[in-house]
Amino acid sequence: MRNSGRWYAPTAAVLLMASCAWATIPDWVRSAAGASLPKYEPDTNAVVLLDEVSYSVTGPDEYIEHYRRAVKILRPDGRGEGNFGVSFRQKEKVTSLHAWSIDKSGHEYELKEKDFAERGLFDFELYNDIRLRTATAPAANPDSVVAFEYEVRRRPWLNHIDWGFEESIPVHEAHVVLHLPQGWEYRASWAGISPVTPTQSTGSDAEWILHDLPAIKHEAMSPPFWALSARLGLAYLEPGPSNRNASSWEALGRWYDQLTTGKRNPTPDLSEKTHQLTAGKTDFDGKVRALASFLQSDIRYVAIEIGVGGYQPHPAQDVFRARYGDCKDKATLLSSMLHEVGVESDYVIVSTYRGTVHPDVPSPVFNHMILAIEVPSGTNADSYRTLVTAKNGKRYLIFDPTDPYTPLGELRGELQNTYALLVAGGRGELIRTPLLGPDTNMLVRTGHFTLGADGGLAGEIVEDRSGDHAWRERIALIPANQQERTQQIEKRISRSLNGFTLEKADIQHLDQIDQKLVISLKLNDPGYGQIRGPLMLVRPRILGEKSFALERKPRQYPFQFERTSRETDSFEIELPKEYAVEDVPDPVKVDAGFASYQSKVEVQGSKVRYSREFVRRDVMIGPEHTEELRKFLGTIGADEAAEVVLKRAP
Amino acid sequence: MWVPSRDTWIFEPALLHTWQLSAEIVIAQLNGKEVFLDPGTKFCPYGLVDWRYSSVQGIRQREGKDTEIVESASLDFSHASIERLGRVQVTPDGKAAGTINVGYYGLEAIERRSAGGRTDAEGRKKLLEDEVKSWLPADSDVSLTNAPNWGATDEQLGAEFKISCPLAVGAGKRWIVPVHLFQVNEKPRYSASERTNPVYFDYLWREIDEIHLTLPPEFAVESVPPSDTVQLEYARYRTIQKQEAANSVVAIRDLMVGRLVVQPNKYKEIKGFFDKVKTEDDQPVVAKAAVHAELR
Repeated sequence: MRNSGRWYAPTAAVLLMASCAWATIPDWVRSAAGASLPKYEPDTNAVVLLDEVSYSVTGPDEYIEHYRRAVKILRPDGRGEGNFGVSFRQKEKVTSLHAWSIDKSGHEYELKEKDFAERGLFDFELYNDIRLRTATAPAANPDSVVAFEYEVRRRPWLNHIDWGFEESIPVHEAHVVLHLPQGWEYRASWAGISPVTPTQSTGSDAEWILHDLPAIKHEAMSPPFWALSARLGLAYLEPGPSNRNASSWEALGRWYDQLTTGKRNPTPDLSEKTHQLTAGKTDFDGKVRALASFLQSDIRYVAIEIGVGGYQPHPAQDVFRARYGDCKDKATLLSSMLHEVGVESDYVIVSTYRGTVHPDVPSPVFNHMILAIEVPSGTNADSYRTLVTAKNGKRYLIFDPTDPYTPLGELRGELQNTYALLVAGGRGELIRTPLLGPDTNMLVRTGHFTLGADGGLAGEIVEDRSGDHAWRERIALIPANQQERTQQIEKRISRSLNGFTLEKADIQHLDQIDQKLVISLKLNDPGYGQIRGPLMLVRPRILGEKSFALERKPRQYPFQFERTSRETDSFEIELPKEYAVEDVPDPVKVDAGFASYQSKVEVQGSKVRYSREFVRRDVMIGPEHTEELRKFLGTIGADEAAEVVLKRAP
Repeated sequence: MWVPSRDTWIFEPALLHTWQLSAEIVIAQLNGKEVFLDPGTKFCPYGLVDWRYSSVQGIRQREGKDTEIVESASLDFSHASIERLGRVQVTPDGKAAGTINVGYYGLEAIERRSAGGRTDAEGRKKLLEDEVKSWLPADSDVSLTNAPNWGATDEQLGAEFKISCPLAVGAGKRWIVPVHLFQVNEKPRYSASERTNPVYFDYLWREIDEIHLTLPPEFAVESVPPSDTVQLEYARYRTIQKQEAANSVVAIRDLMVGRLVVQPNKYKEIKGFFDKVKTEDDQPVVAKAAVHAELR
């Protein structure tokens, strides 16, 4: 299948001059094409006939990767399987590259190395040195077999290989082969599948074969693909002591510690700035908050990753001087500055894709770095929600200096409840970041409105936002100008109201990330109440949508949400004196365990008061609860659409 | 005729670059009249060109004559329409079940046939079912029940569906039932109060919908949304709602837009038009039961 980070769908096709007269189809392709296949679902786009990778390790910093893949396209929607690509880095060399096709009429085609285009990989970095060789197989149509083979001389930074066996299409046969030099050893670890015994193993050589793996089909809100796929982690160990393997989390941490040695050393100007920023701050919180704020606001996020730069941070002094860096650069600089004021900290390597790090598979499948700040004993840490205690008993405050909108002591949703590698004391320890409760992520709306006899509604709403509810708004609003902010708020309101006028929008504490974000809105909607003869229909839920649609298909994977949440709405509507309440919706109260919802409409004199509370307690809902979730969302949807019926007084 | 594709570029005669012109259409002389044809667009019927090549300036070449800059055919709203007919019965638990017939005409048929041409029968079925689901309330069940004429060019694309979806919501002893079923999910077309650039529609279009909605026998229609017409110089919206029996109504909706570009100084006018359309689309039927109308 695909090695994480080494497989990219090409965007440009190569003009093809291949023809059947020149094609030399290798035996392995013919053999794969002749495989007897099980019956697949009618929406199966293609099937991987053979997916075979062989790693021949030649030394501590080199191996040969030989890859073969044959796919049968079953539907037009599977044509993309004809796009092939291989990535390589500086000092790595593609030594062979071929692709073939056999169309449904039996015509054969071949692409040679010169038919593959080369380009850079455009990703989040300002610059990286990853190159791609890509091509599109001829006749990539239903009933064709397309095949691809390459060999690359790799220069790994770590003696470790990750392999995922499952794909978005079924895999008929998959092989992973490992050849090690005499005296070397390997350690295999598995996730997403019971450990597989090698079909052959001669000490330094091994081969694993898997058959008929099902497709991992896309489902909305499911955990990331890499968290669902059957995975093999291979740590290969040279004889004697070595610090460049991931045979355990501890070993992986050792490697990373060595890779970052000296990077946090301060310079006089860095030290001077640190003391300037913390002048007058005497306690732990004051010092850390001042430095964290500097990192969040004064160091821009810019990633330049060359060679080992995908793992290794730039020296703190370089990041400080340039005032930019990526996540590991920022963590490095903050760590260095904290040390200058007597606060120790350690790297925490984490993935923003919850579930991709599996405790049984030590592996560098991380994509982000944050910091664990050591909280001295005796420090009052009650205000911090992101405390973790390591095995050595040290208390750490987990903080992401790359995130400019989450204050110290909190953690945005995607970094919660996930495994992370703490690199401390020269080794690694797998920790789990905390899952913060619903009260740390709140959206509270309070509104007071007056309804006119003509159906017009006017009034004010105040939104109090904390946690990710504030974080998301800040991401959208802080970089925007006044007009864009107004448009964004209008767009959000338009999900609930039509034909409204936003008379005023006041945003408080937008830049004060330590405080709740407060947005006050003054608006009117002339057509809100629907007049129908003597009746008027008024929806008491004025703003906010909690319900969403679920697909009717049977669910395979859990629903994953970023974080827990508590959301309340309280809307009061002063009714026109010409009308009296004739009918109100029934109250709603439902508790599905993973979440609860309740709402009610009360009539108090000339006022209608609507209040509701939605609480999401869990971030993972198993597929076996799909019908419960559907019913839960349906109840919310019906409540959100419910109307109060008013009747004109005679 | 050499034309630009106006989804990406508007031809500028003063700019002497051929990259402006990305497609070719044909101007045929027939009985002394010129007919614009688009043989390069699959499923494009006789007498029509794809919207991307319509109403654009391009270069015309005649045999033995100089080239000249001319404008391609303009299409009107009759060249892109969707007609929908729904017959649904609301069950005592507030769900709607029934059938929907959809006809796609002109450009609307070309768009769907082109998308369908890129996949297989399974994919085409999903394409249509997903579109109908996108119209209906959340948690709807939609299945295609006929074999649409995907390969035809000169006739509409017709599709029939069996559907079920949650519909009625309770209000004490009453039911509130959305009647414009195909617009339940539509959001206001324009949310911004101000506009800097013109509003640009890809093509002119028309939607004609008819819904027959029957409530359970124990319910009686108490109030039907009033029929209404909203009209601009270049757009018209009309609804007719009528009670057909004590527990059934018919709703007819006709929306037509007849201008491609609306300047910013007319933004409030077009926003107001679509706000009014949305308000009218949202008008439900109010039904009353003899007993408490609890959804079962």
